[in-house]
Amino acid sequence: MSVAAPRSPGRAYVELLLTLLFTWGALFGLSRTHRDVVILGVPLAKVRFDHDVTSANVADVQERPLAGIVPATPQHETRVAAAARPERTDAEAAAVPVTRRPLDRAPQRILVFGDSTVKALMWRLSDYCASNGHTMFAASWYGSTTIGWGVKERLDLLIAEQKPTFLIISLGSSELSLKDVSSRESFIRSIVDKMGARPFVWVGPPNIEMDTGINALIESIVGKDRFFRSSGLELARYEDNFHPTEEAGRTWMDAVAGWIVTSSATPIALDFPTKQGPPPDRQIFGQQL
Amino acid sequence: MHLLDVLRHDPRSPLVFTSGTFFLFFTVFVAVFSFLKSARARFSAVLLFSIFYYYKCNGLFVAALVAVAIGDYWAARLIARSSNQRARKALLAGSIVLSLSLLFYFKYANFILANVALVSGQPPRVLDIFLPVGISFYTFESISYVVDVYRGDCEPAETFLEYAFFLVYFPHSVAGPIVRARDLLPQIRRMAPASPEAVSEGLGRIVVGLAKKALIADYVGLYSDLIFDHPSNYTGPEILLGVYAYALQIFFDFSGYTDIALGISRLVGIELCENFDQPYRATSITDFWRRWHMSLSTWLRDYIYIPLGGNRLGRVRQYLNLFATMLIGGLWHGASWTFVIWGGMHGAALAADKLFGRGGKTAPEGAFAKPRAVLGWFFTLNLVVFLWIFFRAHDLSVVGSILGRLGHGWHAQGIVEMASARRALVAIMAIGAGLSLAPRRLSSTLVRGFASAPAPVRAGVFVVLAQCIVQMRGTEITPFLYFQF
Repeated sequence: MSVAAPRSPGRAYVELLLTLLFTWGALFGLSRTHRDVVILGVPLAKVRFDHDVTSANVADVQERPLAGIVPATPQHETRVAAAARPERTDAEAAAVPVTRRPLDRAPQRILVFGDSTVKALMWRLSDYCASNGHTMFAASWYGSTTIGWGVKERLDLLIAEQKPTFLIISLGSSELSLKDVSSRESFIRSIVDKMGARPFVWVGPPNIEMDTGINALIESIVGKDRFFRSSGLELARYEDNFHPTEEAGRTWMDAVAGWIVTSSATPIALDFPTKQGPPPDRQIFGQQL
Repeated sequence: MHLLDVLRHDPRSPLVFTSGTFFLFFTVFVAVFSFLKSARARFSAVLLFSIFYYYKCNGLFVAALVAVAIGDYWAARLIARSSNQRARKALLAGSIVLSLSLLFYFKYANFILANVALVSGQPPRVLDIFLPVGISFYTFESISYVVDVYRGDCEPAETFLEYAFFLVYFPHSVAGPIVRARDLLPQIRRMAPASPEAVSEGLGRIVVGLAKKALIADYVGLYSDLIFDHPSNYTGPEILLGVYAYALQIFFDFSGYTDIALGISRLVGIELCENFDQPYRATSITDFWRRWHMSLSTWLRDYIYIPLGGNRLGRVRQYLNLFATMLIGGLWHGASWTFVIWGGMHGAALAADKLFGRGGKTAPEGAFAKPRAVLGWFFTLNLVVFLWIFFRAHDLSVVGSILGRLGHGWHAQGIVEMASARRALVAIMAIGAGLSLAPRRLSSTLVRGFASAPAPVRAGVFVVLAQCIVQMRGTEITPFLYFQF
């Protein structure tokens, strides 16, 4: 192979230097490229070259697919029975919202979205909806993180399509062991911004061990009266040792529902179900590359 | 951020070759270096940049390297001049003790204290010790230099600055390859400008290394970190995928680093030794160590295995020597029992290969050579991957957890869900596996192809890759794995 190299070392170094300088210039230019691709008036895509977008696109590495096909063990069943409401410290109890709205008994269109833990909540939520006159839609994006929901347009589209009057977020499981939790602050704020003035509650991840601060971070941003801390619950898990079993999911949702009615900033009617709900309308998202 | 902050050492932000900060400093370095005409000026520029680079990585612990350099320089000079064998031996021993004592203090003090506490039943005492980046590498380089001078295999450095250049030369100072003074000193003396071909191919080598590190190693590393940080949370198939992900991560990370180091060095006009030769194509464990981290394995051979007697004192002694050499090699990687066990098991495997295998031949011969080679490759690959569990785990409890969970959750539906939810990871791992098993000429073909492309194309490729690194990087800069050793 003939190598089309420059004639002299000096010229080779100059070319190398120009390559490096060109790269710096190109990176600078790309970092400022925020363009909407519109063809015939139809918005097709947003072109951005920044780290956040790609982080959202490659987030599948952190995904935890719901491999829960193995029934819970008898020990798990015992643990489910022992599951209790999350323990609240005195400080937390004292922080019960002062701006709490009165219980809203109107039928709601509930959008529950988040990572694969949504699947654990949605069946029991369907029972609550059927018994209280609500409708619901579940969007489970396996293993998603606050980056994905904060950066991508999935939540905007879901809100536009479903027009929810109440939102439940179940997100943060994949971020329990982050080394730098603070890096997620802007994404959590972005999710909150996307929901606008709609009432919502954020259901914290069902910890299996001490987290590195994601619960505290979410709580500090959305407020104690919009954040249900799940870490105190004893939930039976599937064999992956992570996802709550279907039965544990029912217990979990019961605890969430009770908290929404009694302690959240925006209580809605969630009386204990008297009948079984239909299979929930849902959309399961896989990986996005 | 002020300019002074950029110039100052920051232990949280090591100056890795894939960081924007290194890229910035390197651009300035190239701008200056391009216009230097004399060898002396080039020598000074590279030496100053190397010291600055090492300072950025280690701060004032650069003093430890200077201490080693001073000790070695004078010991080697006196050894070369002296005809008194006892004095020569004493100087050699003194130099080695100086180098090893610093290494033991910085790297092994807490390990020793922890084990003493364990044995004595006392609460462990932990010293607040900063481990200087690259100390394991330059310790071995300094020992080989003085030993080579003692043996007469290498002329001593003519000046202290020449020897300091050898130790601190930035492409190899923090993570190898472990270069020999006899290879590097003549090039340092000449300090000839790189040929145009070397500049083009050096840049090509950097591109290949960056791609390995940023597009494969860092990506699959995110997954293997999850698995090794919390193995009890995962099913058997997820853990197995994580173990293979780590095998790919460490290969692409370290060989990518080596590509970048060799490429940068070619730009400067100095050739460093190769460190990898497609190790996952090895058909025996002996063959593997001829292909993996070659500068370390040859160092261990020349300065530990052969002085211990090598294969000259009978077969049993040879097996013991192999075992002991690899134990030391394991301990060199880190102050932890997991590394010791990893090294010991490699030593045992090497001894077993000598006992039952092909006696060091790289490929089977005779009847059924091809199927035996395939069988040998499969066995070797999986043995190496299995032993990486010990290498990567923080402690033995993690190893136990990994091995204990491996048998759980083997259900077809779960495996299908796992693969479908992690399509990108599986795809990148498949590409990585293909590249790691491809013939070696693929890499050199890519480098030559890059070098022969028109300048605008090369610049375009470089931009695309740099942008990929910007977009693919995690929230924290991922240092090269071998920085920690």
